[in-house]
Amino acid sequence: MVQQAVKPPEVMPSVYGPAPRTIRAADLPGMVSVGVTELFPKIKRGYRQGEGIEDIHKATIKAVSRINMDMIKPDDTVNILCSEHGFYILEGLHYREMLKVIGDVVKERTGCNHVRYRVAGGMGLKEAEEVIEHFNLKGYLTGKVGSTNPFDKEVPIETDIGTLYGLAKAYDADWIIHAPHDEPRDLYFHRMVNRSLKAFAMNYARYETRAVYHGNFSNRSANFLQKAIFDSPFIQKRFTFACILKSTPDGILGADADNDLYALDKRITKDLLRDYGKVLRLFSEIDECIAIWDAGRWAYYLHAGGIAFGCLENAMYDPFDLTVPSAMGTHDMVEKYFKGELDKLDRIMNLNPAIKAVVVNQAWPGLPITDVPRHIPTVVVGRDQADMLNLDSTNPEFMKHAVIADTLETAMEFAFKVTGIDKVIAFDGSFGNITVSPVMAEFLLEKSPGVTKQVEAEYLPLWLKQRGID
Amino acid sequence: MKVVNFLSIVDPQKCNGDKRCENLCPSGAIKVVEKIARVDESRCVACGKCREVCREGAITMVRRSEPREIVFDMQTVSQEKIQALCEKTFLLPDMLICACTGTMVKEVAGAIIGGAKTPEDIVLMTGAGSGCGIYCMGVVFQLFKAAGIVIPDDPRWKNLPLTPRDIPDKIADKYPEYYFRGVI
Repeated sequence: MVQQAVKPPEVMPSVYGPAPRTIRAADLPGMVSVGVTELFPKIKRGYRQGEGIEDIHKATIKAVSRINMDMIKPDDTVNILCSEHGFYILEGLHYREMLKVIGDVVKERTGCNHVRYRVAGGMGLKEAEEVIEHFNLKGYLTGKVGSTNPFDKEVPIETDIGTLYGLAKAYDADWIIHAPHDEPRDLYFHRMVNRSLKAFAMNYARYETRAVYHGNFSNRSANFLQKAIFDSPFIQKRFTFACILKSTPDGILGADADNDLYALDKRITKDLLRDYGKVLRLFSEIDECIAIWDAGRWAYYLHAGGIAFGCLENAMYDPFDLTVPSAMGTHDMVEKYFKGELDKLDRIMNLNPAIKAVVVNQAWPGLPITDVPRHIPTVVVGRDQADMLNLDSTNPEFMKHAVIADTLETAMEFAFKVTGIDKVIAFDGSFGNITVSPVMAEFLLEKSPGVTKQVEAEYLPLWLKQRGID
Repeated sequence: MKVVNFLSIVDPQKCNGDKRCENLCPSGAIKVVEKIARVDESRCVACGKCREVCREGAITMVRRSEPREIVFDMQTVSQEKIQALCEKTFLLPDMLICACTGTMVKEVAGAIIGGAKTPEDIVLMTGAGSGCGIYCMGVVFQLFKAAGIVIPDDPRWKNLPLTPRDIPDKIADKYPEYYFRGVI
């Protein structure tokens, strides 16, 4: 059941991260892989990197074949809205294929030749352009390809809760096609509420709307923002259909499409709660670990068995249980403060005490995460990466609290000595497998049957009921 | 508090004066004069956005000979006024407002009481907004609104102080599952 460590997805070179490392966590002596379907046999086998591109092509054709596109006329303009996050799931080629098929089918069925792609960035101003170049989108996709980022020119969107701001470039067309992915990533924020709509308040939104989502609302109420934007006349008069790349923690499954985004969201939500919920609850069982960051994104979004590091960081809560006021420490601590249970608010957000050390083999700076080295022993591999962190305006004090090792091996030696433990888990971008030390593999395999029973008997019925899903 | 260790510098040979940097700079440190971007060292907070947005590669970050500290002196304003402004926004004074710089609500409230009129002033007085420039800004807008200050229009920001308390009752009542009221 435990196998030799499986090679993780390759890291895309980026100006935002250090040069891709030649030695990965999976290359460390003794590291092994435990398969997601070994842990949870009911989770469907998905495609991994290098697999199933032709099947995704066919699945997308099938998914969009039942879509009504009658509203699109030959002289209209159409924006296919895509999220740059989709290109970081495995090695991004499944997402690219889905996008290609959507554009090709729309052109073929409607006779419209003004189909454009809009790649929306997350935080950085060059992210989307990097993706366009790396994936040769201007050559591979038949249609103009452009980028947009959170600081681009805004367009006001009047909603039931007031004016919110989208990105003008995302919406500068007669029609839009919403083409995201369902990989849940930061589910401690969105909590699987309106997940399929989230890009309307994030990727397609200007930074002020994103700020309100993250800072002014709690992570239950915040998920109304994407609904308010999507329901607005501004979006409704442009929206045609959505086509979503489907995943499980085991890999990419296929594509699903619908003219009714809420119907699609219900289907996605049910599947994600069932599959990702199990791996998430398993991660909450981890009592101690050394976590390795070893992929090409911000640390929160690096995957292990399809689950992002941010989810492990917040694993002491059940983010899917909507009766919990907040899965994020900030709001939770405010509540305790008001109840008189805390004398003062600590500035620390949720940091799972099970994480005993962090080894940074590779990850992007650019998203605030200094609470990790401030509270957890942290080793950064390579002077080049330390230099990037020193220059990072979002983590100006990271390297004040972290130490540097020349190699991944010496970094691990340090982590073992500091913690005295040997349970290691690598967030190396893997779906389908979790790269771990043998002791951690045994631990996960021992816990998974109990987690399966508990999720199926207790958690899943609760999660579905809270979301009005049978 | 933020310690600014770096500084943007412009290569005039590469700069094309397109103002992309000026239109993004949160501290107003970079201005295009006679078609060349120029950096006011005393205002540069080393957020790096100018470097990132420049298509010509004309901007680099260099280490300052002396680091510059941005810290708001809380003793210069009334603590009672800070407390009152925080209470008005239902924000706790010790809550973190900017995860990048570690700036707290009370520091931004203090800066507003101390004369800040725009998000740019907040960046220069407290450091908040000098990192990613995204996550903290909603709370900054809230505090300005609570202080009765109308932020002037600027391409760099749209005033958006929306909170759950601004959600109309009819919406809050219709969608109780979003917990707009009570413990949010």
